[in-house]
Order: sequence, then C-alpha cells, then structure tokens
Amino acid sequence: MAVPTPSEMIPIAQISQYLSAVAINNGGLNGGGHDVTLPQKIRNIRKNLEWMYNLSPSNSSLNQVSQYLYSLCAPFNAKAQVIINHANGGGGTPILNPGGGQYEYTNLVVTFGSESTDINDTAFFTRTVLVDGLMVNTMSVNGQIKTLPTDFTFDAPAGEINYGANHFFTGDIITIPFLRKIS
Amino acid sequence: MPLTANFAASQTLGEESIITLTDNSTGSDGSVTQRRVYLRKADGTFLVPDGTSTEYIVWAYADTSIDINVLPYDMALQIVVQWLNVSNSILYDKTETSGFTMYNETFNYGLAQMMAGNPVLINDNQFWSNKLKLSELIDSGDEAIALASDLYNAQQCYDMATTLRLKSQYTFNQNS
Repeated sequence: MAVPTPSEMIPIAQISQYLSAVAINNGGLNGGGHDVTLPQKIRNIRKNLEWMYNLSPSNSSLNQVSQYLYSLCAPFNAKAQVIINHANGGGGTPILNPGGGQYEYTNLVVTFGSESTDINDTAFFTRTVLVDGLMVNTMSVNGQIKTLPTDFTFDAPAGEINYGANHFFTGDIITIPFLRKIS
Repeated sequence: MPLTANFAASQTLGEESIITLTDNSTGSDGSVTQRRVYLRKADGTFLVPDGTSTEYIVWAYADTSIDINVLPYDMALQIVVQWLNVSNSILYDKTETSGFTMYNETFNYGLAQMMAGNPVLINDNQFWSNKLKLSELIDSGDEAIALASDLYNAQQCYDMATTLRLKSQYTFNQNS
C-alpha cells in the first residue's frame, strides 16, 4: 500500500486517533502495551499538517511531515485506510457495502460566485459534491481557518455550508477538506 | 443601493508581521471618500506602523486591500474599519476581533518538521510536553477570540506561547 499523500493522511490520522484511544481504553492496565499518549500525539501533529495544508497545499515540507504522521499512526493507519475506503466505521472488520456507502477524501476548493446559486453577501452556499459528505469539520476562508460548529454549520443532505453571522462574498476562496460520498 | 460595510483580515505564510485587510463591502455610497483602520490591542492602546502619528491607519479608499506591517509577535486585536466622508464624519463602520498567530503557528509547524527529521525527539519529555503546551496555548487563544471576543485572555495565551517560542533554546533544545 502506497504511503498516502498529505491530503489523504489527514483523515487517516483523524481515524487513527480514535482507533488508538479505543484500543488504549480497551487494553486495560498500561493501555494494552500501546503508548497511552498516542492519540494526543497523532492529534497534535495532524493539526500541524492541516494548518500548513490549508495555507499552502503544495508546500514542499508537507510530504515529510505527512510521512512522519503516517508512521506515528502505526499500527492503526492500515485499519484507518480500510475504514475510509469503505466508510463503514463501527466495530469489527469493515466490509464492502455493495449498496453504496463509498467515500473518498477530497479537498474542495470553491471560488464563491462561480456557481449561479452563489449569492453575494449571504451566509451560505451549496455544492452537489458536498451532499452527504462526512467529516466536514474545518474550512479555510481566504486563508483563515474556520471550525464547525463555532464558525459554521453543515447540512449534509443539502450539501449546504452556513457561515452563521458571517457572509461570503464574490471572489472568496473557500477550501474544505472532507470525505466525499462517491456511491 | 446603500453601502453594506464589511472587510476581512488575513495573514500570509512567511509574512508573520503583516496583516492584510480586504474590503468586502457591497453596494456604493458616493459620499464615502476615505477609510480608516484602528487596531486596538488587549491593553486598550492602538497598534500602528512605525512613523504613524495618529491612532488610526489611513486605508486609501481606492485600494481594495491594504497590507499593514505592524505585528512584532502574535496578537489578539480588535479591528475597527470606518468609512468616512470628506468632513471626517463616520458614515459606516465595522468591527471584528481576530487572533493573528502566524509567528507561533509557523514555529509549531517547524517543530513537527524537526520531529519528522529526528523521530526520537518525541521521547524527549521536555520537548514534547512543551510542544503540547504551545499547541494548547495557541488553540486556547483562538477559542477566547472565537467564543467570547476576549482580547485580554487571548493575548495572555498568545504571550505564553510566544515565551515558549522565544526561549526555544531552553524549551525545545534548539541550540543542541
């Protein structure tokens, strides 16, 4: 299995974080041999990676930090990749769902105003690609990181981002890393 | 259509001392001839570039954006932009509270790069606990701004993070 790219690594780390937390909790004394601070470490480095990726997706240092994060996520990274590929979550071994439920990691870049449905100086926009998306937790608006639910909300069935008291303006560059539903 | 005053503040990677303001106002008002920016710090004083004799910064009305080179370190600021007429009467104004954390965030990312290049650093308790502390202080400052526009406590968090950064030879063994 190839080493993931930085954009692929972010959700792998998010999932590895909770997988490791659960494994430590279920491991009893001393976390079943796992480093009990591993979830904290994964989260910290993942936040660093996200920060740089949102500001500068082609930054040359991203691969090195991403690969380091991948090694930090071991042994949970492989299972995290399987969970992302099949988006089944839950306990046990994820299984293929022939009825759908397939997701892929996407970094959506929106130039506000590029769609006819974008209305200048309003708090919301919709994109078809966002419909039923998962893990819409952060967005970057003109380089400023915004987090859900403090700064915005997401209506998954409608694929709608709502910026609350703030407004979007024509020309705003919005970047949203998330899991796109592909089937 | 009357003017609906608005602006956005941002920073650029590698330009930690610069705040960029962009005018996102919609509509128009022919009476507006000038624009002013106030950057109020947590202690109530105003931040201006060297050589500025007023408490405000003039933002030429013809310019959509302005780069203000003013930050010596990370700061929580209340930004007030005023749109005025030729008689200096304020016709519109807009206030935002923002945390500018490019110095400490860039440093924190650099620590992650150091760890990537030297993975055993994660076993250095002082290095790792201080990295955690740095991240928490930046996040805490951001939360103080986002949840409560609390300049005072946000600045305290940013200042503690800045101290960790500036004393990196002790906190992160950066001279070893």
